[in-house]
Parts: sequence; structure tokens; C-alpha cells
Amino acid sequence: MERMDKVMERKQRLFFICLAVAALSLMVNFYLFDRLMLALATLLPIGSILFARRPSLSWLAHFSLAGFTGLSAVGVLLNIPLISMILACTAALASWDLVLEMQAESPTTELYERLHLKFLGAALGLGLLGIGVVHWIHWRLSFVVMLMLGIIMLVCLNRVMNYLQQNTGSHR
Amino acid sequence: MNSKLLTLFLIFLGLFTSALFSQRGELLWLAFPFLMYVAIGLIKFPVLDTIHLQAQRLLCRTSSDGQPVVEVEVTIRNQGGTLPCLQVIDSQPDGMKIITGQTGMMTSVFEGGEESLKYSFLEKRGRYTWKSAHVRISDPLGLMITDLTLPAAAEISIQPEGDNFQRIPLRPNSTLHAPGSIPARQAGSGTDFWGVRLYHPGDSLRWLDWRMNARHPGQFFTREFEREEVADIGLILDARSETDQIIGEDSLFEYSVRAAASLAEGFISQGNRVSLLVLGKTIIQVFPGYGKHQLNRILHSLSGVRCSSSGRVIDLHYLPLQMFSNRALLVVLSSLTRSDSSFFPRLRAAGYQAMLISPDPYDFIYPTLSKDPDSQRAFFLTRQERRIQIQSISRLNIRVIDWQVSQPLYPLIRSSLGHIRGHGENGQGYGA
Repeated sequence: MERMDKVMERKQRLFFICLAVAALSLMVNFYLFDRLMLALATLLPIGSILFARRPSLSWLAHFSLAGFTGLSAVGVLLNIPLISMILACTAALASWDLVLEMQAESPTTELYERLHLKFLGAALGLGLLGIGVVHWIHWRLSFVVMLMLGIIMLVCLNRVMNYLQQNTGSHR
Repeated sequence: MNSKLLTLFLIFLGLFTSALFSQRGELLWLAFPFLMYVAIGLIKFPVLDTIHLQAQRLLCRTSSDGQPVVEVEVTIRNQGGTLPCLQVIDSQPDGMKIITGQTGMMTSVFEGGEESLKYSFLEKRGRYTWKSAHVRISDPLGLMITDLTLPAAAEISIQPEGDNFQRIPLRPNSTLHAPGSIPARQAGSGTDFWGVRLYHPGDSLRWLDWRMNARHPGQFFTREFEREEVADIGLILDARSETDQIIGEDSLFEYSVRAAASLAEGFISQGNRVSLLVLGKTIIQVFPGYGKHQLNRILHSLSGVRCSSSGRVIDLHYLPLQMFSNRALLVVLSSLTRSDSSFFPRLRAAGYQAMLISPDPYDFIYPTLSKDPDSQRAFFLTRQERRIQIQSISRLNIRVIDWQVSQPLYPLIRSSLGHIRGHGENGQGYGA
């Protein structure tokens, strides 16, 4: 029981750190760019994800992630530094994942927790690293190239969905 | 599709559409962490062909903090590749009250490893059956999910606790012609004095009545004893939900079940032939039999009995009385509904002896009733109605025990049947 409390405590701490990073990245940048309304609007996904810790309100977590991503996209359109917006998105993704994990009905083992955090860290780290490298070399893609990449990604995602439909789901 | 995956897909679609309309390629960079997240999930999802799991369930009756409990242990053995996320969800049969542990667990299992899910529940009357264990396998980020059902069958039957009814002083009108402990109202081999008759050649000289012989010279007299035989007893348990009352976790029906178990144990230990009929949503029958096996059959049936209603009016008239022989003494355990009065004349008309043990529902619910005058008046009237109903049943020569369940049942039965001894020679006694 004590071990489970520690696990929950660690999850909570990580959740709040990620949420703080996401919120600060957005709010500070909107404030610096004189977009106070947008800075205030950030409170909406923050509130949503905090309420989403209740099991019956898990849908608020999805709403919150969409909110954070939408605000980051607005930030990009307002020419706020891309890296801080990506940081906000990544931290929001982490807090979304953690809040959904905290709602798990079944108790989790320490091994599972360790593996989950390891892979979450790997996914987010790789994401940030990739973008960091691109940002560092100041590689700017033309819209056409970006569109092509986007279409390729959509096709890939479609393939993923097909794979999932074929290989997952209930079976005996 | 998993809600997590759907959310990520919609976000990606939104970003892509925004990039398309705003002609700003940077927007797609925001999707990069999401794509990496999905990619990691997809890569780490175990290939279905490599999943080989086995489940085993162990049940153990023990006690915890002075309470009898049943411990359940479900062990999942992984004979395939490593599973980063394995969720075990065990089904919870009706009426189970978990004391320690939980019926679900989320863990990771390495190749060749095993994980156990342990919980215990309060040992309460019932039949608890499991057929399988449900497992859910996913990637470590919970994006892709596969559900599996592993066979892990087990059953445990918790029988009702019976009170120790030492000896029930029965005096039925007719008995079965097999040696037993019930006085048969006939002369034969026994211990109780029955009468004196003229000596017949072949009578044992040990039973000659020497006083009578002395008084009547030239004639010989033999003492006779009352034959002791077994009785045929049918227990009828009323499991209709209309007759049950529930206060918190306490149910009036449970008292009836315990009484039925105690009576069955008492009657069978006296060597009698006992059968059981339960009237509920379905009719449960245990055909007449003797001995420990019969007691086990009855207790096993009682362990699974639930108070239920089929949605239609079930009446005692529907009972298949033909399963009892016409010599049987029927013991009906029912708290009675208004429409049940007409059942008992039918019972007597069919020639059965009967006894009614009726747990008093009004006495049971009285502590929860409000003390306002209207409620008290209504309570008084319903009680009177019940009293009239019981009196009308008593007039049919049926012994009725109006049982207030806060009182032990055995003394009531003993005092009720004890009055009958030597009273039933005309065959009308009490019905029993």
C-alpha cells in the first residue's frame, strides 16, 4: 500500500511538473507578445486537465490536450518561437498521458510504472530532440515539401489504423 | 478505436488542416512529438503470434481478523515474449464482498515470467463460479489493446450456517416402514411401552408381563412396545422476492435459508428421509433421500439459492407437490403473502401433514419504521391482518410457528412440537 502511494505521488509530481512547463511556455510567450487574452485562455485547458483527474471526467483530458495544441498552433501563427510552442505541446502530451494513467482502475506494479515512464520519456525525448536538431540547423521547409511530408504522414497513419483494426481488438 | 489514439489522430488532422489552410508548414512540427508517441507505441506493441499466456486460479478458505474469508489467487504465466503492459481483470460473481486486494492489476511480464493477482472476499452464503480470467495486452503507452480470455475455471460453494438442532420431537401421522427414531403409533420393536396383549406362540419370553400373568392364571400376556420408524419430510422454502425484507445487509430470507439448513441437518441426523423444494424465479428440487450425501445435496442447493422474482406473480399454488409422497410431512418456510392462504387448504385436501414456520416480516422491519402515529396504526393493522391469516391456517390443523427472527428457532420448534406428544393418536395431532 505504501509502495502504491509512492508511485501515485511520483506520478502526481511528474504530472504537475509537465503541466507547469506546458502552461508557462504558453502563458509567458503570449504575455511577452502582448496577447493577454490568449494567456488567459490558457487557463481553460489547465483547468480542464486538473478536473480530469476525477475518473468520470476523463474526457476533459482529451479536451485539454486539444486546447493546448490549438493554443500552440495559434502561437506558431503569431510567430512566437516555434521551439517554445513545441515544448508546450510536448509537456501537454506528457501531462495528458500521466493524468489518464492516474485514472487506471487497476492498481499498477512498480515494474509497469518504470517501463511506462521509460517509454513516455523516450517518445517525448526523441520528439524534442528531432525538432531541436531541425531548429538548430535552421532548416526551414517550403510549404510544398511540408505538404508532401504531411500527406506521407497521413498515409502512414492510415496504414497504422488498418494494422490496428486487423491485429487488435477482442478475440478468444 | 482507443480513445487515446483517436484523440491523437484528430489533433494531427487538425494541425494538418490548419497548416494546409494557413500555408504554414511549421504547424506540422507541432505534430512531431505526437507522431513519435504513436510510433513508440506501435513499435513496442507485442506481436500477437508471440503471445502465449496461461492462467490458473486457486481458491483457499481461511480467516482474516476473525472473519472467515476465501482467498483467490489468479496466476498468469507468460510463455511468450515480454509483455510491457498486461492488465488482468477478474470477474466478480454476484454477492461477493471484497475484503482485501483488488480484482484487477496492471503489470509488465517478462518472457517466462508470471504474475499473481490476489484478493480475498467475505465468506458469505452463495455459489461463486468463475470460468475465465480476462487479460488486456497493450503497448506501454496504452495505445493499442488486445483483449484475451484465458480459461481459469473454479467454483466454491459456501453453504449456509445451520444452528445445531439436537433432536426435533416429531410425531407424524404416518411413517416409512424402516427402522428410525420416530414413534410410529404401531406396536413393534422399540423402547416406549405401547400395551399388553395375549401371548402368541413365538413371542419372546423376555416380554412376558408377569404381573398380568399372575392376575389371570392360565393365560399369558406379552408386553408390546411402540415401533420407531423414519419419517418422510419435505422442506418447502419460499424464495419469492415479495416475501423478503432487506435492512442494510440483513435479509429476512437469509434467516429462512439458515432455518431450512438447520432443519435439514436435524431431520437427516435423526435418520429421516428429507427432500427440498425452493420456490423462486425457478423451482429447485432435491428429491427425497437419506444420509450425509442427501444433506450435502440440500446444503449445496441452499448455498446457491437467491431470493428472486420473475416479474410475474408466483404463487405457492405452482409448487409441484407430486414430488412428495402423500405420507410426507411438509415443513413450509415462508413469511407469507396475502394470496398464500388458499394454498394451505389445498395442501390439507391432498392429505399432507404440514407445519408452517413463518418468519415475521413486520417484527423484522419494525426498528426501521417511523414512529409517527399513522405509521404505527398502519403497522398495527398489517400485523392484525397477518395474525388473522395465521389463525386461519392454524384452523386447518397445521402447526404454525410465528417466528420473530431475533429469537432462536429451536426452542420455538421444541416447545411447539413438545405439546403434541401423546396427543395425536387420532391422527389429527398437528398435522405433525
